[in-house]
Amino acid sequence: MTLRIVVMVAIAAMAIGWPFLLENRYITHIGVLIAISITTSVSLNMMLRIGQLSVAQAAFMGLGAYTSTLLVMRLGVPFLLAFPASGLLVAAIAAAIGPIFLRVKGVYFVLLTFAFGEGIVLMFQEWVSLFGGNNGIHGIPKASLFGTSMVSLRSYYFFALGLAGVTLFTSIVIFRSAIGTVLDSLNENEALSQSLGVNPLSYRVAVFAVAGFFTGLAGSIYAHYTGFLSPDAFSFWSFVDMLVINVIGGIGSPFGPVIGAILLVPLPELLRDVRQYQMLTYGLLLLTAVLFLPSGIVGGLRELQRRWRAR
Amino acid sequence: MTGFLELSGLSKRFRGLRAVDDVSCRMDEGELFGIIGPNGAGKTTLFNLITGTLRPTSGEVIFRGDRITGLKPDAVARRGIVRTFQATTIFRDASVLDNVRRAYLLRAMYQPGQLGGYREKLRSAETEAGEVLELLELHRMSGQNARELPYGSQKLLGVAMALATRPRVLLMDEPAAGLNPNETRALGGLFQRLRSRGINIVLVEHDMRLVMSVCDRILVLNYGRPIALGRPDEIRADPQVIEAYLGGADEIA
Repeated sequence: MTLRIVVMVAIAAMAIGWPFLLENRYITHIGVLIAISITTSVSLNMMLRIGQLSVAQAAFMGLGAYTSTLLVMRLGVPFLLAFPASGLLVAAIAAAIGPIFLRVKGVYFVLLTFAFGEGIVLMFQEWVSLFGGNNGIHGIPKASLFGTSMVSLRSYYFFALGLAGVTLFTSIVIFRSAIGTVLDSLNENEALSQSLGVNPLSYRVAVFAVAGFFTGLAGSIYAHYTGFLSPDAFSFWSFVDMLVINVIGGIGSPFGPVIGAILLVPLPELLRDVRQYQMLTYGLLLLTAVLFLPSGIVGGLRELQRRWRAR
Repeated sequence: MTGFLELSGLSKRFRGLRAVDDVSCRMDEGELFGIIGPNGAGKTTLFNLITGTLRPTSGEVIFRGDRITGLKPDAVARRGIVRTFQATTIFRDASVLDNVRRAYLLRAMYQPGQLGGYREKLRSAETEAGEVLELLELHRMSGQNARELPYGSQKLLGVAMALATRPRVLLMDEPAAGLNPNETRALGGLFQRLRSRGINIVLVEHDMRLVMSVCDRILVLNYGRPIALGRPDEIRADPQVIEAYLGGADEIA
């Protein structure tokens, strides 16, 4: 246990400390993308742990991104307010559709959230006057906190890292608490849990809303960081990225998507020179993970640890 | 006087089939109430109507003066009507103690004034779970994995979980099914112990000897219809009941 804390503190210190030692704009840029990706993937992980594959996560990120952008650009709302508003709006949407969507399970939930996601992207594309259509929105102002605009890459990195940390922490706290016990019980045997007095829907909707909240916030940071939004950034394929990150890292633990994001987000950059092999590498990695590491990297590490102890 | 748990004109139709047909009865506080009937008589359906798993086509379920018809199973359970299942329904990968502790926690989540820390809850769950396991004589197995228990003990574990929620009424769906004669006899003793703790029991059961020996009153269903209601000796002598169990008269005696 103490060893675990030491390792975690060391990793946190590294995540915070490296930009000061290594001033490389390019690597810092990748760092921002990884931190945003950790936030969205850990959010998806919460849904996976309650046994519901939510394809809507990409659209949630888009809703957060456009909300924050439009509030700042059209209504002149300060970023400090637009940022939480984007998370809260997405959480409210999730809480509104959750009671309907979460009544169904498995394939049906996947299809419903897929249709919802496609609908949202279609709205971004077709409602040109508000969302800018396929041309997207350019010149999104940089995020500013308390009157000072965040211009340096490093400040974005820390902001995104902070959000990733809070998301991860929240996920760990939820699943280690009594609520986590309820969620696990629901997963294992819903009829039994319900007969013991648990309302399944309310717990699932709560997780859906929390996952939506953090995904919306990630969208806001993404929008103000890149300065440009287009609908296709939030398509089905961006959901697939989040899912692959979870599968390769391991869906059984909130640390799975963290490891997955650190490994996979830099991949397209590393493979830039061999672009034609990019998708191939991606596919092979996924294939390897599914065949040989069914519980992801975290699951594999746990298995190693178990064998080590059993020796 | 209204009963503790009251069914009035309760019916459930599946398309043309009347699975439960106009059942009315009153269970009094402290009573051990049995429901029997041939296979397919609608006993389990009746249970499902009371616990909210199924919505009745017509009729009412009244618990301590409140209509609870159409409430969801979890809401019914929170009012203190808790069921056990015919098949063993447990968290298979958790330990015996953990199963009961979880049941206690699930219930505690909804209790006001118990919003203490998780650790606190865990600690009181631990004590409560220990007591319940002792009551059911499962405490020697508390560290074992639930899936490793013999069938009879798995069924008892289901009862333990229901008890951990501190029910007012325990609806037991064929608790003796699949048990050996020794286990069944022990079950009879358990009913008496639960009863002395003020827990009302409604029992759906196939084992006639058990039902006849422990129940205060018995409701007999046939093709969804109530055909008799009374004390065991009255039921045993009822010509309609004997008719329903045609050729099974010896089974009743």
